[in-house]
Amino acid sequence: MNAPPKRVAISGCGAVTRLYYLPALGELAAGGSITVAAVFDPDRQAARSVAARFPGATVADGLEALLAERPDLVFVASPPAVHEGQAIACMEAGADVFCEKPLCLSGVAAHRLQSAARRTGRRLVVGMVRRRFPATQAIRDLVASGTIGRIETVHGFEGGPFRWPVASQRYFSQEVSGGGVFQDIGTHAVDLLTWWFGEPSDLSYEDDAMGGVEANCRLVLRYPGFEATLRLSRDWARPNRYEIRGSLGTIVWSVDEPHRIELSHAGRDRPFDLVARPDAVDSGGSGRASVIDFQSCFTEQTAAAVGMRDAGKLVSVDEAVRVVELIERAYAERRPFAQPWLQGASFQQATP
Amino acid sequence: MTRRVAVVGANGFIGNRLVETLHLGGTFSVRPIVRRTEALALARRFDLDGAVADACDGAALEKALAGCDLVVHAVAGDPATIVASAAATYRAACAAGVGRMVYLSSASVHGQSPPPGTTDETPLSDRQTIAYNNAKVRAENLLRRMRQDGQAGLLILRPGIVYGPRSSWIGGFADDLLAGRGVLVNGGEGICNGIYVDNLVDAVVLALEGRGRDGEAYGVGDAETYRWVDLLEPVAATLGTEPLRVDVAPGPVGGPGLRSSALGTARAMAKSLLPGRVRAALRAGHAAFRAYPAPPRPRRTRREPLVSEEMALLHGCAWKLPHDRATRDLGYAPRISFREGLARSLAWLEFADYPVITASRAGDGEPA
Repeated sequence: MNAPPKRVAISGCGAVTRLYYLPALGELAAGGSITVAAVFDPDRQAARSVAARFPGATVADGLEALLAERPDLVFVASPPAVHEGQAIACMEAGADVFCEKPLCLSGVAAHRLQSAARRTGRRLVVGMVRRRFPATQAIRDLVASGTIGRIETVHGFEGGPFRWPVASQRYFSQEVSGGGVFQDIGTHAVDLLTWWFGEPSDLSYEDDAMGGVEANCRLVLRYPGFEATLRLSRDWARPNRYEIRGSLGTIVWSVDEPHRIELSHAGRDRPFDLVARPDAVDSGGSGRASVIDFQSCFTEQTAAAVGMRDAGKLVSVDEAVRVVELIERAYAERRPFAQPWLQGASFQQATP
Repeated sequence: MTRRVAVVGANGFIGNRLVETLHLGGTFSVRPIVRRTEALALARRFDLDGAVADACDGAALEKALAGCDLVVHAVAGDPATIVASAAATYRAACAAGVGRMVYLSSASVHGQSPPPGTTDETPLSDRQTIAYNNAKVRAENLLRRMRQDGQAGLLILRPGIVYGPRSSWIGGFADDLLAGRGVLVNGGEGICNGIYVDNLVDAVVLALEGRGRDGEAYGVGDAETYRWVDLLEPVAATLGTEPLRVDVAPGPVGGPGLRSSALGTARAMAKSLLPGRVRAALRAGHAAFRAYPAPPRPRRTRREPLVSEEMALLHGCAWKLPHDRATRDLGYAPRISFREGLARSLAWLEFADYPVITASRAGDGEPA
């Protein structure tokens, strides 16, 4: 006999919900594995348009009303600054939580979330969709197996002119987002780098915030024998890719290719494409092999969150705490990013 | 009391530098105006409140300009947007009680290769072969007509090739070089009517301070006379590459086309060619992966000609446009030398994570 559909609720109906959770949850609901019981967003119109996709979903007036619908699982996709309060309230009401990244904005808050999960016995996991990419999984294994030898350098660049459809300029604030491009994309990138290479022994960090939130930053993670440099931007585009150079070979991964990496190996003139088969990702509830793209990985993660498969691959609160702490530490050690066109007095003024 | 300046098009190359300079300078308070909220990412490095308005939407602009004393129009766009946004901004400025609008036109109102003897007084044509030039001419003419009945003052600046950090002439050319498409036409021997972005910002500030004759247009440029090769070759040197040198005969310009390289599409299974360690890794954890010999990756798939009409005309320019009228009326004097402007631009390449091979002060040594 099939299990009854899981009751899920959504808190936060901004761009990430609209663009990615809706297709994923829509597919799962169509397959009968979930019902969306309630939806909440302070922007009631945004909540209504999400709820309209799920027959029977209630538009809740607040989180309390959302939890009164007794969901088994709540997707928290609200602004990062309210993740902690909402996730704890959900767990205390008896719901598991799937929290969009970043988990929260400080190590102290992360530990409170960890404690709340233990105290309530609820499951708290964090959306790190890139862990579902066949490419990132392959990189982790190729590095761990020593296939490219001793790591010598790592360099990643991500970003370009910012195009994420934010609802308000308050998005660009410490209060709402806890930072700029580093808090945003950096959460993904730091999670991957520490997943691939472990905890760094040291770090340095610089960004271009001048009273507001950063649009450019550079993070250097130091490991025994090599450094991993990460450059993020909401400003100017360069190829979005990671290059991991080892003593025996090099891996290149373009961020927009979840299914493919390029591997050069000693003694070979031309690199190899390593391309995942379509059935490497089992999309949603359909059980069909499909094209591996960002959405299919997102849907797979969502399916795991509702307990359909591979729940072990989800990023636990314990792992997410380490990323939150590393980002907090980098911000604490922040130095101004030298902007060579801001000369003399203006640069001094810009970097108090 | 500090006057408030609205910058329409604040996320563009010039608009962003204006916001930086005006905000950090402290003489004015700044309101960046952009078309989409997400375009405030750079302005929000400062704790600056912006406004969102389409530059062609008069009502939205009027609201965004409320409380501003001055406005700078720094909107880029297609020819229709150039004309419509100039008119809408001026109309909104009048309705919002703004004292003066500074309009960023372009030296290309004279064409990309202006005839020797061209000055600010030279009559303009809106029947040129390049639509952008005609749009700028029409926008200027329209604004002057609107000024006759409008309350807001008007000052027009005509910068030439505005270069600097984040400019397409530097970053875009670097991208072209890395894609094997960076071109110097006829050796880049033509005169580059360039202006370092901070020199343009200085001219804007003079206009905001009320200098210059109302309704007048002023050409502005760097002090030095230099060639395209002087601007672009150091970009290539900083990246350790060489521009392509394409000769184009005078006359009608079509430009040599670039054939996109035909990529081999057949991908033979090649697991047997993999080194043993890689084969083992694939066996161990990556049964889901298949290995192919990687084809050469396409460097660029654009199909437009390697040399556009605009580029051929620019690189063939034989006349340094004067800015003596701006000097006389505005008190404009280029503060940043070409050498320094270029050095700062090259240093930005390193900031922006381009694969530079020299120290950040590449080019021709320490700036003056």
